Amino acid sequence: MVWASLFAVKENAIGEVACVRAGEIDIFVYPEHYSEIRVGSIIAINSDQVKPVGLAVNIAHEPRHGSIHPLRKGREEILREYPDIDYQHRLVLTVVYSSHVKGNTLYHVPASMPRLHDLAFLVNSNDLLDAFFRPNGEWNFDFLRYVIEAGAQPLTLRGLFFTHRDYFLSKDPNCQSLVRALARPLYMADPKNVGRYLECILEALR
Amino acid sequence: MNKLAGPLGKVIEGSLSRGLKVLVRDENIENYPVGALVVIKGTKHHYLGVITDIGIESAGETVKSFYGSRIGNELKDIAMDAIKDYVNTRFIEIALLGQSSGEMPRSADTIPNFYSDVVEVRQEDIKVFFGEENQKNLWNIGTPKVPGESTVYIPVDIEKLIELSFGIFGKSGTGKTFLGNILAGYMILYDDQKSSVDKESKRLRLLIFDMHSEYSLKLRDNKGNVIADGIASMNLFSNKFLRYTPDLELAKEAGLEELRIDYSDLTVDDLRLIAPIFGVSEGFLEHLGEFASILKRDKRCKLGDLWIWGLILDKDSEDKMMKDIEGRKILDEIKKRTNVEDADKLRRMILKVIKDRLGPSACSSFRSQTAKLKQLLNYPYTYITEEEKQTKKSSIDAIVDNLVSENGRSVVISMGKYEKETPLYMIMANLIARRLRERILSMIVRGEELKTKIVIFLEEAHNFLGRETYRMSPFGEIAREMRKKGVTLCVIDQKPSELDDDVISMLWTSFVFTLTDERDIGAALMGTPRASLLRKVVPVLERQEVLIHGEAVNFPVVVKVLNYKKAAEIFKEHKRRKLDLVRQIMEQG
Repeated sequence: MVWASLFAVKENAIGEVACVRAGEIDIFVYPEHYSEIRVGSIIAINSDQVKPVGLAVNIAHEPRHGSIHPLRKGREEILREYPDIDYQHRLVLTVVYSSHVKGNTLYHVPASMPRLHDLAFLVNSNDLLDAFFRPNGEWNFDFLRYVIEAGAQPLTLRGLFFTHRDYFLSKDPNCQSLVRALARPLYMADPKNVGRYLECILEALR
Repeated sequence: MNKLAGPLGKVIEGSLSRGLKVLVRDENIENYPVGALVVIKGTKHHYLGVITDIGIESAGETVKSFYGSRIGNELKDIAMDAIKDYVNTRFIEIALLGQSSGEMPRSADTIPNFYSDVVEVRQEDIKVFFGEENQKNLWNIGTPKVPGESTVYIPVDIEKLIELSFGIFGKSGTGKTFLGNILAGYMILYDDQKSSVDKESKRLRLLIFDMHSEYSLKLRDNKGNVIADGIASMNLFSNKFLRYTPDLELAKEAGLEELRIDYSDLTVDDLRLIAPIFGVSEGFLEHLGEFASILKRDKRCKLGDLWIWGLILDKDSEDKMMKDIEGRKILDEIKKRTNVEDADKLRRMILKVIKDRLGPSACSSFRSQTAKLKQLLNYPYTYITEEEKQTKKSSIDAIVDNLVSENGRSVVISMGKYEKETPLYMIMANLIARRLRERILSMIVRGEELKTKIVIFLEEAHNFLGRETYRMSPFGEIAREMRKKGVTLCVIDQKPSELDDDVISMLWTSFVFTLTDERDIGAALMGTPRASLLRKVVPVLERQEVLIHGEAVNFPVVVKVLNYKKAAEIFKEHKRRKLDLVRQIMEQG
C-alpha cells in the first residue's frame, strides 16, 4: 500500500501537472519544494484511475512574466525586499512518462495521461524506491527504455543514479546485480551505447 | 532420434546454389556439427539438407562500446552475459540435397519458403530419403551425423556400388581400411544372398591388394593394437577367400599361400613404373626399351624372358642367388641360354654389346644405374621353365583362375613384412592385373562370357592410377575397358588429387574421410551435386566419419561408420540366419 500512502496527504504534493505532451509531462513545482527536485527525481502523479510515474529529465526555471530585470543583490537581500519573488517565477519539471501504478502495482509502461492540475509527488522513501525499482522484488529498469527513447543522454542516467546513490548502494554494494539488470533495457533502448550508459551509471555510484 | 525439441531454426535467406541460411533458436550453437543432416519443412516439400557451416554474428558496435568503456572486467562480463542472447545471432548454413513430397525423393531443384522450419531428422525421414536396410542390396553402413544423437542407420546399395568403380579416400588413420573390410563383408553377404535366390547370377569375386595385411590378417588401430580379424581371416568367411603373400615366413606361420614373383612376366612399362622408386635416372629409363630389346634378342645375350636378370646379374648377385633354390634354377637357365658360365663374364659381355649398339653414354648409364635395381633380389622370386609350365601353374595363374571361375574364391594379397616395399607391391599388383585382363580378353575372343563379377580393392592407388602411371599400368586399362566386362575397381588412396582425372571421373560412388588439402577435397568431390558447399564438410570430419556420395546412396550423407566389431556381429548374425533357413528347408524335406 505504499503508493496509496504516498497520495494520501495532498499537502505532500510537490507540484501539479502543467502540460501533457506525448510521453512527457510538465510539472509546475511549488516554490517550497524547489530544492528537493533534481534531474533523476522520480515523480508520481495522483490521477483518477492510473497513477502516472516518471523520471525527471529536465528542470526549467523561468520568470512568470516573460523576462527578469537584473537586481544586483544577494539571495538574502532579494528575499527580504521581495518576499514573494518565488511566486513571480516558476519551476517547470519535465518528466518522461515511463510507468504507472494501478491499484498498488507498478508497471513500467505508460497508460492513460494525467489531467492538468493533477498533483505530483516525489518518490523518495526507500519503500517507494523499492516499489519503483524492484516492483516484483527484483531490479527492473525497463522504464529506462522510455527515458532513453525520449532523448535522455548517459549523463541524465548518471543524475538518476547519483540522486538515489545511497539507496542503490545499500541494496547492491558491488553493483553486480544492478549491472546485470541494467544491461538488457539499456541494450534494447540504445544498443550502440550500452557501454557508455553503464560507464556513466557506475561513475555515479562510485 | 535426438534430444533437441521443436524446430531447430528458421530459414531466412539463401539459394539452391549458395545454400540456405538458417537462424538457430537453440542457445547452444555447439549442438550443430558441420556435416549433420537436417530436414526443412517447406510448404509443399520436405527437404533434406546437410549443415555446411555454422556461425555467430554479433552486434559489433555493442561489443565495441562495452570493451571500449572503463567498466571493470567482472562487471563487463556480467553485463555481456545478460545481453548475450540479444547481441548475437546464431546461424547454420545448409546445402539442400533432396526434396520429397510423398513421392520418390529426388535431388532438390526448389528451395523451401522463407521462414520454413528446420527440424531434426527423424527415422521416417531417413527411410524416405535413404531407404531401409533389406539385407539384399541395402546394408547399413553407419549412423548419420545429426544435431544430437543418432540411432538410425544409413544403408548403402551394394548392388549399385559394385556395378561401377568406386573410391575410398582419406588421410592416414581415418578409417579407410575399417570401411574397406566392412564393404568387403557386405559384398560377400550380398553375393551369398543373391546367388541363393538367383542361381544364374554372376558370382562376385574380390581381389584385395592388402598392403598392411589388415584384410588378410588382423585389423589394427592407429597405435598398432589388434582390433579384430580382417575380413579374410574371419572364420565366417574362411571358405570365401584365398590368402597369398610374398612373405614366405608369414605364409608358413599363418597358413597363407606363397606368392613368388616371376620377373620374366614383367614388362618394360612395369619396370618404368617402379624404377623411379629405386632412384634410377631418367637417362636410364629413356634407354630401357632398347636395353630390354638387346638383352632379350641380341644373339650374344639371348636372355629372352629372363632379360631382367641381365640388368642385375653380376658376381654379387650370383652369390646371393646361389643361396636360394629358385636363384640356382634361374642361374642354370641363364647359363644354358648364354653359354657363359661366369656372371662377371656375362656382365662384361652385356656391357660390351650395349656399348657397341647404343654407344658409351648408354653403356655408362647401364653400368651405374642397374646396381640400383638389385633390390629386386631381396624379393621372393621364382622362374617357371617352359617344361614346368606344362605341369605347374604359377601362383598368379592360380589367382586368376579363382577370380574368373564360378567355383573359385576371392583373393587377398597380403604384403606381410614387405608392407613398406612399394615396388614389390606394384610389381605384384601389375602382374596380377595384367594376367587377369589378358585372361578376360582371351575369354571374350573365344566367345566365352566372364562368369564372375570382380571387384579389385587397390590400396595406394595413385601408384597405378596417377597422372604419370595411369597409361602405363594395367589398372588404367581395367578402369577404362573392363567395367562392361564385369571388373570394377575400389580405388583407395590418401591423395586423390594425385589420381588421373579420368580415373576420378570413372568413380560413381565415393567414400570421403577427412582430407585437408584443397586439391584432394576437390578431387574427392568431383561430380557431386553442391560440391562447393560440401567442401566445407570434408576437413572437419572426425575419425570414422565419412562423406558418402554417388550411386550407392540416394543423397550425399555424412555417416559415422559402423564399429567394426558390430559389423562383424552383423555378418555372423546374417550367416547364422541363413544356416537356420537352410536347416529348416532340409528338415521340411
